Amino acid sequence: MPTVTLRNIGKKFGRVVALTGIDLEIKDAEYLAILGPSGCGKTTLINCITGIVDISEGKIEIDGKSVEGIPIEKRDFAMVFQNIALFPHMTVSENISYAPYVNDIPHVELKKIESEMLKLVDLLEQKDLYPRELSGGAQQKTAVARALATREKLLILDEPISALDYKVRVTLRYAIRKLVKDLGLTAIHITHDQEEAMSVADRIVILRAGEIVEIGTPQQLYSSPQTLFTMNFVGESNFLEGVVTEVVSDHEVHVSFRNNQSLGLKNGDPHFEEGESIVVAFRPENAFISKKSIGNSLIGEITGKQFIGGYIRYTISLRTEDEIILDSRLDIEPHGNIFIQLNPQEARVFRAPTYGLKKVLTLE
Amino acid sequence: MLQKDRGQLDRLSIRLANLTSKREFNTTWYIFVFLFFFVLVLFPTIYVLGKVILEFPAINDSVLSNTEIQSQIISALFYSISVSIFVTIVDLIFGLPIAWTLVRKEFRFKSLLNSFIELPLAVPTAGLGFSVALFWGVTPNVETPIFAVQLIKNALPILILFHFTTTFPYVVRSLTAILEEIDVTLEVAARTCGASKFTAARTVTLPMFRSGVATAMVLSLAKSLSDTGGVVTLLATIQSATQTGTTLIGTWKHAFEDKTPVPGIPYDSLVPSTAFLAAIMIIIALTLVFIAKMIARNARLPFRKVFPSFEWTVSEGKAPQARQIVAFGFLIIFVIVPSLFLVAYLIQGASLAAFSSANWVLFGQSIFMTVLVASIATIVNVVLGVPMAILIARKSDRFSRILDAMVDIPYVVPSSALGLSVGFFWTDQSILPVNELFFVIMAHISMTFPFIVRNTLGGLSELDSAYEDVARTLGARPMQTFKEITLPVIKFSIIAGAIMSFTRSVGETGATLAVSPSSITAPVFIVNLIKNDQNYFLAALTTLILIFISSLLIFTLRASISRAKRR
Repeated sequence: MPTVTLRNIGKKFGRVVALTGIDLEIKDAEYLAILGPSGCGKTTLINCITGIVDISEGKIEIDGKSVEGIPIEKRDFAMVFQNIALFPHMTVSENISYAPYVNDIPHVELKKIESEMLKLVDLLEQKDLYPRELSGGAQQKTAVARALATREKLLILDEPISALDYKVRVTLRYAIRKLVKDLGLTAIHITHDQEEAMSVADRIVILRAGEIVEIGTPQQLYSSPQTLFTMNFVGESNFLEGVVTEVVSDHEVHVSFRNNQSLGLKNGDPHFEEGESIVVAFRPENAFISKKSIGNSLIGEITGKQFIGGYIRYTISLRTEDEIILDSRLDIEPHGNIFIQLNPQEARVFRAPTYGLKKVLTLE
Repeated sequence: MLQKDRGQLDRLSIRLANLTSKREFNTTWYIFVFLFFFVLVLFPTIYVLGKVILEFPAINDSVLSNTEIQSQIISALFYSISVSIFVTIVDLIFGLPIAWTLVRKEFRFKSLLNSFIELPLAVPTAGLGFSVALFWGVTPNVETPIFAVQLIKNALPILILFHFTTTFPYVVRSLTAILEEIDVTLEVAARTCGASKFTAARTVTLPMFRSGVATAMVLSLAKSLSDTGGVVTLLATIQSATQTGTTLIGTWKHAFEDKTPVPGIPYDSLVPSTAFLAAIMIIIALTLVFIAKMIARNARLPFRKVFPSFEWTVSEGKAPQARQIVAFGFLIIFVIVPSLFLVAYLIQGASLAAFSSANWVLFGQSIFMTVLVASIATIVNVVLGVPMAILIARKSDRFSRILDAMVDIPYVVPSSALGLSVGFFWTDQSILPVNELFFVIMAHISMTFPFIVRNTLGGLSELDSAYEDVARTLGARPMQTFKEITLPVIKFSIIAGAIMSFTRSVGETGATLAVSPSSITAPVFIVNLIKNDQNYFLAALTTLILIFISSLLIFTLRASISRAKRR
């Protein structure tokens, strides 16, 4: 059964370092997403696994066997491409049966695989059309079926749906995940869309500038990210820079911000010392807004109010000179001071980065 | 002061843009372009067809009843057709792997090889024929450099060897042009489905490649049916009396002008016979090209079935390397070395006797005349070909599609048939007084017109017409839009077309000879030197000067394009 092991992979294009020190273990029947902003090396990583480019250092094993020197066509995987890459001169059927065809599978069996795949992706009615006659969604379904017809157990998806309309994207990503799980495949799914990664994957690898930032389940990455970058890239967050004024216990600190604003906060792992610079990060939904004065809170004014649907999004100018966004079900009048209390379980305290917050949060 | 001048200049240019953007101006201009194309380019090139039909009774009497004429025509056509078909097939077989390697692989001598492939294009075919004959042929009258092959005595094999040098560069160039457009991920996708490299290329890329194959076939067929000067010098050097379709046109036309009798043919039959032969050549060329296009468009894959294990073996290990070595070996031995063999001859065979007996005045005149004709033809074609291309590209109605198909006809018509036809057209009309130089220029304009239009069309297809629309919404007049948006993008395509047109004109023999045997352009001068005077040294020297002029242009263009791209 397919497992993929990457050991200390590095790739250079001339002097440009595209990937460094990638260590990754993909388990059998796992749906893994590789998530990162554009230019982070996602596609290069996939190209290394598939053999489209050669790696500069390290070792790749599929099923415990090194793939070094094995050409693309002899590595055991199926692939869906970002630009779909359907053969324009072949019909849907011909595209789907391409893998059995080039492997000289007997005609009867080829037809069996073809109709099975057509049924699987629900394209029976369009089987004689050419790719240019299909909608974007149907094209991508054909591409998935063509990949699955290889009968490989490792499926690699390179931004498979990012070029499609939002609604189609949402439907397709569930369909793809269901297919992968029903067929018991191991999948590696590349995307720059964190929502897509969260909704399809068992586990997400976050890649930035050719290095792995963090690996975790969607929930871990959203609720308890270990880095500021993840906090910012996965979901939305507010960041407040401050200084530790008092260490109350191993799990509690007092923090002061600009203009004498201060908060008492719980913190997890890193142990801070008095006088240390820190960054407090919290999600828009993890704070409470009140018109009345409440303890352990920050003072601010509402500068923007936007009705989203299930909640209202407020833009708030804090007295700390920071601007934050908050989501709330409460409808609050935007006049006068308001008081903001952070959910102590969900707000996270990070050590301030050496080269400044901005530098750490930038995507490139 | 300076600023005031600038302001005035700007106002002037806007006023000019307003004037030239007027609807009436546009319409008049386009009508003029059309008339020019139909009346002065297209019609004269196929005029001889109409002439043959109208004067069929006379032709019937003098040509079809004379067995000597018929047997000469049949023999000549046999050589022309069999050589062009065979050469085209072999070109494709070796051209595909070379084009593939040039587009998809990176290797050390790639750019060098890229320029080497184009080198034979810079050699005028009259010199090329001599060069190939020196390398391959047994040459009783010429002392050859020591490493010449010196093997071939017969016309058929050496004609084939010669046409490799004239057609192969065109085939490789048109194949690489299309191959560059085909997305490489399609092949990768095929390989992820388990197809070997060979299978992927055969089942995915090749079928999408039809238009490239069609263009390559058309170019190769047209070029090999058309060549005159090269065939004359080639066969003269190995002292063979064989005639191909195009050389026979030249020979008969010359015999008529010189009033020299041709054995077995009455003097009065010469003109109808020549017209008849030219008409047949035109029909054959158009038919072959049509068939080639049909084959390329409709042919299914040669083998529907895949043989995985066999196709593996040809994809892996030593096989691809061996294939490349064979293909590049073909290029070097059959194309590049024979084309440049002339240089070896010049270095070795420089004799003082040849130097002193040379007619230097005629030498200078011929080169001047060649450059003059080529320059005028190219300038006229740029001025009239570019608007034609814009019209074809931007108005996609049925009329423009018909125009699109017709633009290539002057290219496909064998050049000596074209020359003859243009000559007939201008002598038969009695409206304008004309002279021989005018004939030659008009023939060269017709012959090279397709180069400008095709290249400009290629450049226009790179430019999204949305940019032009954006400029128009911002208030630019049509003429301003052309000058500021369209022209900068298509500039290099136009220059490339102009250079192709110029070099083609510089190297042309057949059309010049057929339209006016007394006009001595440099290629005609070369042919005369080899065929009549046996002054091989001066012929080689003239060729070298023409190569120098052409390649200077080609390399300037390459340099300026790559500089512009870096910006």
